[in-house]
Amino acid sequence: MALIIGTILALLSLGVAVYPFARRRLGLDKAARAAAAGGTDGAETESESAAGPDTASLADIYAAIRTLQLERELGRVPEGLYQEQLNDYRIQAALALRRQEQESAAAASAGRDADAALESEIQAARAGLRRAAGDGGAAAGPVERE
Amino acid sequence: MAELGAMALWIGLALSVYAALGSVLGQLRGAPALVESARRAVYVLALAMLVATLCLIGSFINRDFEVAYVAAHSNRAMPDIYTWVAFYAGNEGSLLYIALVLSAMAAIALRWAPASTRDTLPYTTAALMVIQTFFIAVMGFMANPFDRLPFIPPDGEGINPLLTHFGMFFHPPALMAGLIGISLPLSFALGALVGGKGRDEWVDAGRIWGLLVWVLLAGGLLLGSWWAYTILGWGGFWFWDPVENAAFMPWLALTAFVHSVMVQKRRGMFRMWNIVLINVAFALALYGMFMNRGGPVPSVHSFGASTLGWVFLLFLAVGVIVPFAVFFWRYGLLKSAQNLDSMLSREAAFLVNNLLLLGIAFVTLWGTVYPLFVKLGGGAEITIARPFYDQVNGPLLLALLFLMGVGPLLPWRRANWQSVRRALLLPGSAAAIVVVILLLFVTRSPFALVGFGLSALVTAGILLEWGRGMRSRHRSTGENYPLALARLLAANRPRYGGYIVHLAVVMVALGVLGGSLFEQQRDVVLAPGESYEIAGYRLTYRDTTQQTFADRTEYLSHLEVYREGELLEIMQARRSFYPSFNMASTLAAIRSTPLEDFYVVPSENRPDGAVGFRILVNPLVWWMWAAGPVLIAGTAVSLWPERRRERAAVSFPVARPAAA
Repeated sequence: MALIIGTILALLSLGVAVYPFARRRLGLDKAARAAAAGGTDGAETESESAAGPDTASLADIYAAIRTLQLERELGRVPEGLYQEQLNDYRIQAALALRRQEQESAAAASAGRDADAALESEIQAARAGLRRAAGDGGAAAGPVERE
Repeated sequence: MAELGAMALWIGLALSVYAALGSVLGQLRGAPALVESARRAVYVLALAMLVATLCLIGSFINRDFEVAYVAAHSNRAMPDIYTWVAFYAGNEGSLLYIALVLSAMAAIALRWAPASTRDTLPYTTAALMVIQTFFIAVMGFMANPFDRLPFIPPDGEGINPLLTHFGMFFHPPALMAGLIGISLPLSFALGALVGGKGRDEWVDAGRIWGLLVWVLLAGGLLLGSWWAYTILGWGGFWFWDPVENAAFMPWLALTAFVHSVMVQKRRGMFRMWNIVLINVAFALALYGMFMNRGGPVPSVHSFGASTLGWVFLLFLAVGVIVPFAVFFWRYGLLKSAQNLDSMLSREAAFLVNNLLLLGIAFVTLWGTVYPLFVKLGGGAEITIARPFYDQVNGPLLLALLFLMGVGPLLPWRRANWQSVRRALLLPGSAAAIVVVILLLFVTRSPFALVGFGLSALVTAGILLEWGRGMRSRHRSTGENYPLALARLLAANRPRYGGYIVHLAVVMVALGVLGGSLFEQQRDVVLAPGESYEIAGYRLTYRDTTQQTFADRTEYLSHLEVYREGELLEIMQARRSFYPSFNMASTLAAIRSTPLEDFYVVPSENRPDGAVGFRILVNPLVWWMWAAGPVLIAGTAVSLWPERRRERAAVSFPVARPAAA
């Protein structure tokens, strides 16, 4: 009995370790396909939260502002220091927002570049197929899909 | 069962080696499938460790004495309820417990790692799995809990009598989980550094795991003190025993870390310092494990006659050298984003708090290792005992208490003296009133006056902070007071959770001050019917009943406690003798109130029916044990995740650039 359960445990371990390779080979891994198409790495995208590093830093700035407001309400921070620090945080938040938007824009632009590259590859493939058909060679090439 | 357990161990070893190598190779070669495979191996590893654990527990339940570990730590007379305790009562089982906890924590940490750590997660996995490999390998090759005896003994040796106590169900597991759990924040930090991320990417994970491990260690230490108080029969709760110290020191370093990491999270400061702190905490945790397992100092806590000392010493050396080597390698990445604006700020208070905590840790370390150095140098065998720690650590702990009172009243970045004076006025007044009352009616002991005065300062500061915040919120939102307080806490969880923890620390301080400075102790021998008076109490010893069990003879003394002629309680104190261990264990009779404990423990049962008793009156010790749940509640509030959509109500006048 022990041997059977132990063997099952060993096979399960092997299966779990091999599964990511098999999934890739069989083309079942959406993330891997996305990575192959110029997206991000598969292992990193799984269950990844929407918050990137900049969002996190923006959240920290919001938290800092909330704390500053609380400290002012509790009378810990005089008005002058409060305004000075609040302005600092506003600038930091604005910079973080700008950085975030620039990165979003860059990502969108990269996506458009990837689309264009893909489109030109498809055009080239179509031209190749047409040439092959015109030459009277084997026309059993890949079926075009869009 | 044992065969399956052994198989699960070897499978676990293979998985941990694979996960360590696979994650690094996968990352270096850009093979995401290999990285993912290694990560999934960690999940199965946790399952394998669980199977091994269940097998060992099953062997205990079946009393399978062919398994050497079961024969050594249980017998037929052992109640089944102690099976869980017997599981980690010895070296082999405790190593399995550590491997189980580390694998489970690693699986959870990797599955739900913050997005900011994803790039470097393979290195974190590798660091965790190297540590895991060490523990499983030690079990596999040197201390296998499933090793078999060449014969089947008719009965086992039995569980150590000192472990048959309710506190043992939680104290060792919490401490061992806490010590090994330090691997988590360390591995996130190491992973980030190796992956070239020297900023604050690992800080959220480090803080969460740091706090979880911190509360485990704190709970374990408190439970250990309670266990010592009720069962060891000397009436105290902390002995400065080398192994007690070994668990206390990493907790101190971790306390420094959980404060300091807040500064990094908030201001991007102390980046190098936090890496140093977590490295130190890990090194001290390894030192603790080394002391427990064949360390050079005998202790009531250590696993006697262990031959694993040198292996753990070697691992300690590696555990110190490698993290610091990585730190120096990536030193250039760790420049802080901000500088300290002012010494009159919360950041500066955190820094001083860190230095004090490390100071206490290193004084304790010195007290622990100094006798070894003397012995190695050919000197006489010496012991560093409580007076040394009281004299050196006592003032440092009071300074820490002072800082706990002042630090939270300081704002981030900088304050001015006027606002600090205003903030300190009421808490300082409360402290002064307490000191004057004590001076007039109770004591002139400087330690007591300063200690209780500072406790009042901290408590008043926290309560005033809550009161002001609640009033301010009530004014601005119109919420009723309880709702305003609840929402104030909910909106500032790390801050107010921290205050709750500070209150718990004050409760512990009250217990320590009361129990250490005002304890009254008498050793008496009473014949049946005789009485003894102490601190306004009258103790009458009625009789003792004797009962013989398979593994022990139990003496149950019946006592009556009176105050001003009124019967307060009928108590029972127990003393058991275990012939196979040639050891007696006691269970004190304690009448515990928030004001004081009346404590009686039998030390000797004479043939004529007379009994030697140690009687103590320990003021305020109750507060120490009550602090435990408060500590856990405060940590839970601190860790409770905030909703993402919560934003500061502030406008941004800076023009936002148009999207490209």
